[in-house]
Amino acid sequence: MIQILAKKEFIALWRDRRFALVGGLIGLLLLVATGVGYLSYQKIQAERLAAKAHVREMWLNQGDRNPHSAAHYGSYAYRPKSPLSFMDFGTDTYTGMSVRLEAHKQNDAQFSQGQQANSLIRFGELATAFVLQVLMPLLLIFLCFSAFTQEKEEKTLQLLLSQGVSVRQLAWGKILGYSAVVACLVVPILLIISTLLIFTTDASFSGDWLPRTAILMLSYLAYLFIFIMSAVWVSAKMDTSRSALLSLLSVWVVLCIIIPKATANIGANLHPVPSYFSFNKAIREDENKGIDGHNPEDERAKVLKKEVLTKYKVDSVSQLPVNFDAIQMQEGEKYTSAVYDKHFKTLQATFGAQNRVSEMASVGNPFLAIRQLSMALAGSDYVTHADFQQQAEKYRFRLVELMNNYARDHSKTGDWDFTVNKEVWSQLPDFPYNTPSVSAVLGRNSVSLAALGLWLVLGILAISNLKIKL
Amino acid sequence: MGTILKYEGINLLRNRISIAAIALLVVAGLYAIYYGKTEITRQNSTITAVLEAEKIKFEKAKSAFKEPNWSVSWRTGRTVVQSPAPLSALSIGQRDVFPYYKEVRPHSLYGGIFSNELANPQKLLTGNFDLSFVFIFLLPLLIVALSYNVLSGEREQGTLSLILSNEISIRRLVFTKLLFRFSVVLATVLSLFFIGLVWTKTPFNTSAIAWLSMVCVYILFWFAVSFWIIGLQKSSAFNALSLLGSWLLVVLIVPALLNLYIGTACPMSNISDMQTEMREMGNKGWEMKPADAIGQYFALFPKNRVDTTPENSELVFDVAVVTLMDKQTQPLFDGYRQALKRKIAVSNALSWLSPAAQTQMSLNDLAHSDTDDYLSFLNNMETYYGQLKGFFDGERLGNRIFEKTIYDKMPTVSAPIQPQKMMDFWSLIKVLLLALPFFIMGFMGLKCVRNA
Repeated sequence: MIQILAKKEFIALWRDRRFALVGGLIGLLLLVATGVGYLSYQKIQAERLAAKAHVREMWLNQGDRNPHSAAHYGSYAYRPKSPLSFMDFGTDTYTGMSVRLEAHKQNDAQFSQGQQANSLIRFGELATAFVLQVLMPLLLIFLCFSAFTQEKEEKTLQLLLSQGVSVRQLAWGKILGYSAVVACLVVPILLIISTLLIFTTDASFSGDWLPRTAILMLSYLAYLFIFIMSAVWVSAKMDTSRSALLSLLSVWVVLCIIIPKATANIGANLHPVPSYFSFNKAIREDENKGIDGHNPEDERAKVLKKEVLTKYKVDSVSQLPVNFDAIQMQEGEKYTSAVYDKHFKTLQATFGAQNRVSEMASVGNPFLAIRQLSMALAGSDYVTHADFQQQAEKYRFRLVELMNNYARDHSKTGDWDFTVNKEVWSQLPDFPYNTPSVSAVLGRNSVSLAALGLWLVLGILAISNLKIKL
Repeated sequence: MGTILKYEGINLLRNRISIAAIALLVVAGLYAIYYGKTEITRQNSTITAVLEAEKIKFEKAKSAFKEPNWSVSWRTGRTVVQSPAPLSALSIGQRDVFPYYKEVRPHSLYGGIFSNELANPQKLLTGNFDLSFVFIFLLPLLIVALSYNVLSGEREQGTLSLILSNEISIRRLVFTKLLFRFSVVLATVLSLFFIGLVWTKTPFNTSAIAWLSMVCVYILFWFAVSFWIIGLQKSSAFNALSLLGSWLLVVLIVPALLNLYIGTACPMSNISDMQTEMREMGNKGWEMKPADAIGQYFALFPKNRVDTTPENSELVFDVAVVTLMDKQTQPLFDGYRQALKRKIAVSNALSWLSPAAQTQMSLNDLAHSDTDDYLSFLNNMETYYGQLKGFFDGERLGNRIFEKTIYDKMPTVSAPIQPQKMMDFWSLIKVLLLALPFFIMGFMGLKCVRNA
């Protein structure tokens, strides 16, 4: 029975010119967004990989230098674009693409695309995710708003019900019919995305991308299905097509336009971010409490000197078999690194707390749930960026440590003319960037995942218990 | 006409949905003003704190000053700030994306010029809930909600023929009804705007008038679109869908497509190359032979030539290296700036394709909160850097060792004048011109009653 009903809806829609027009437009937008997104992804990725190779080259061929000068010369960590980010740019437009790596200092990522544009950019870019998350629901509303109201207005509902069809069967039949039509539009795009992804076999492609893509696609299908069920449910509860349409459109505006902005702004008000100035001031204050790597008159340096002298059982630094300057520098590095870590982690936690407001709101708003899930699975959310920053810091510390320890073991205290060459530089591996595993991503986004699941279950329950007042 | 207005008023007061929609817009508007005010107040208090800390730093440096030395210049700079213009609380624009204060020291401007203000990328992505957002995104929806069924509603209730029997033309009927709704919307906008001005202590000057005019023209555009759709004389459902579709096109899709186009058509100069280049130059500069650096410097600036002695050669070398590095870095930096300017020019040239984008950019421009204003901040920094470096270089080349008085003698940052922006007539005209065809089509469509 349900199959017959579904088939009827499918054929009716398929023949509907209005649907063909709107559906065609959205399909076109999906294609354009995916195509251009993919091309620009390839371009940016190529630029970043080239830049990454370039700084590696520069590091290796920096010439003969003192190891600590090399640590000051430093390098840069480039964040590779994640393969799926071509369909969901997420926060990538507003996160820096590279981090300067140098001794004594942890830097923030710099050069976001958002800073290379004027305020037009704040309207957002047309990404596949935007079409699927924001525009598709509108198409669904357009498809479904008159599902029941039309039958009511044309008095065909009583006729149908008197033939022994239950309201439940009727609803499921309609939902399946609409879903089949929507699937004809969405599934090809999802297949194109998967195919493009398979062809994207660059260095950062790890085995995780298949489950990521699969879960992402399923989440989108679930999201759209939730909208179909809700729209049919509203249509069943309303008396006229007009009121069904108006309520659905108002809900859409509130869910997709007003709430996301409101929760982001409320989050920002609830968890204020320090200014760059006070952030740096706090770091400076904490730094001054620790050992100064470059100042031998520092009190803590004197204590350290005593310890080292006792350890090597000698009376003065000149008798040490190792370079005390390098030891002191590494101690200073450990301390400043801990200070920066503390402050950057606090900052990242503040941003996390701001974003959590939107995440919590996703329990009441499936749009927020899919937006968060999609960004996270595509590897373009803030957490993935913060993870990159932490990996860059680990690498920076490794770089400085390697330089200081080499100087410690191979030169004498005060010997600032000591130079080393490429052999030492090549002991530092290239920046190894690992995208977070899919299980970590899902674990972090359990709220959004649960919210989507909740809405799915609620929708199914609501339709299964649907009653209509005649 | 008076009768229609009177009964429209009564109708509106009794229509819970319309009242709710207006109330929602007012609440959103009040929140937006509150949010804009907190954001701009935060920026202002940061600027105050920065300048206050700088004052204390200078006082400390003066009281701790022991003996004349040459190293003062390496530690001494002043902060150049870009204070928010009063209107920016109503349209924050790009102010949350760009830095707005930066300490400038007399040794290399370009090294630290790109450091950012701390901001949550996800927050930047979602954007600001400021009054310009409420006016540009939400206000058209209110207009649509109030006017989509002015004609179709009467027809669907069966009251249209009744009204038309009173010897009123359909044009006049629709026009009067829309005029009434326009007044309601305008009153709402004016109240929010003036509440915004008073709340954020913004003076009511030419910029403010221009800002308000831009919003009014934008409202007119949406009424013209409504007029056109009503003129098609279709059902309420059709009207609601088409108007929402227009909204979608103008507010979301066209700007997003424009960004997609501009992003691919105007590539930025490669900043990552620029920063590695700058690092190389820094390194090579300091590794130069003193005689070479000094020779090149005097060849470029013969006026600054002084005799080098063993005592001052290190100083002259410092001056020479920093100057030569700046000279080499400048073209890279100018390239970045040129590319950004080109991109802005292209977006300005295309933004008329969406009246929403046009209005938003005009509002930000009037509020001094767009990327152009960041560019002028960069210029201010460069100007001050030139003055500061010129001063310290002069002292060093003149072999006048830095005394305690140096802190009073060094140039201060002259507060940049933020001119009151004049009426943005061109943007006004563009949006009006876009509204005109819709108005004419609506007028033609209402020539006679169809399917009554």
